[in-house]
Amino acid sequence: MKSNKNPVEDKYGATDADYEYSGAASRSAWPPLIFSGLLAAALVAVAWLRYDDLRQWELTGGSIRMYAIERLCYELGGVWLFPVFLICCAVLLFYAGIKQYRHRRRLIRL
Amino acid sequence: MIFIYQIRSLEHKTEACPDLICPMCNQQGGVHLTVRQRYVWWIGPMCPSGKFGIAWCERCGDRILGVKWDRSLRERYKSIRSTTSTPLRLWRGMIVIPAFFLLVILAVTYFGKRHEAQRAANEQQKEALLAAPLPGDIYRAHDGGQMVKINENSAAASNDVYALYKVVGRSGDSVFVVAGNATRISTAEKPINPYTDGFWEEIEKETTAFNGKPIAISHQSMVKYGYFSRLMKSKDDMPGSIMSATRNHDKK
Ligand SMILES: [Zn+2]
Repeated sequence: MKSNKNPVEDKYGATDADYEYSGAASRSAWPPLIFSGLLAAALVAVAWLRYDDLRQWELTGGSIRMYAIERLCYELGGVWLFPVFLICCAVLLFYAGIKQYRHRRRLIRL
Repeated sequence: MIFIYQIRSLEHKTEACPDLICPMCNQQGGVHLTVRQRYVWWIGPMCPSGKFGIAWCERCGDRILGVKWDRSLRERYKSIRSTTSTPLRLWRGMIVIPAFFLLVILAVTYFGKRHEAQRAANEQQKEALLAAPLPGDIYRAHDGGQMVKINENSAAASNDVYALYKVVGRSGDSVFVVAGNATRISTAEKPINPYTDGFWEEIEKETTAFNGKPIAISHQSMVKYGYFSRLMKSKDDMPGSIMSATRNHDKK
């Protein structure tokens, strides 16, 4: 999940970050996948909780606190837009994790 | 706030490891190892990262991929790293930020206190002078004007005269004052703000004489509330207020 602004790839298709060793996690392909997976799961959980809260709030009324971005989403597209936005983030994150996993797998097999 | 920062890198140590075999080309003798650390530079160095190693081989000319580090290379890295420590100066920048905020807080407190002390002194002087008015005392005051109805639910003061008022005499609860010849009149359509800078100083400069008709104001409400309330009231008269008082003995 390390990303440089201008990742320059060498003949192995590796970037500068791939040459840095900072502990056992640098040798395995799994850490990026696991961390991105956990983060994505957390995002999905938040999305579900907020969706549930907003739905309840629409049914029962009362007051609810919303962050600016959440409110913008609600005004634009209703209850589901913000959770969908979060889930999109989660999917992108997990996709980046998978990509990094496969990248490291390839480097290990070299 | 503009936030310009740099990521810099500190090289702790670089060592040749001629006994190690390069995992990339399987040759011995060319492996070098360096221990580095990154940090953020903003005003000063701060937020040092964890240390990391970079290894390369002079036999094959390649750097060694992190995923390819073998046991002997890892152990060598560990032993070199254990001889290095994060220098304290990499945290120096962290001191600058709280110091900056502390300075701001101190300055605000200091000037706030000074302002407050001055305000309290003015207030005290005003109270002392209002308690015992003497001819020659000068008040910065406005007479309150008259209440004007704007619509069903709201009303505003109009014809509210801001001027210097000079005490000319006293009798029982009546303090007789005469307005100076420089005035500012606040109306419902165009209310004025007497707290703008230089408002009173300008009036003071323009006042050349006190020659109006004496007005009787209530000494009791003046002492109690700092009010400027006329004793001979007409129906819509509003109470004004005395904002400050001065006594100049030379002018008496
Ligand atoms: Zn080599």
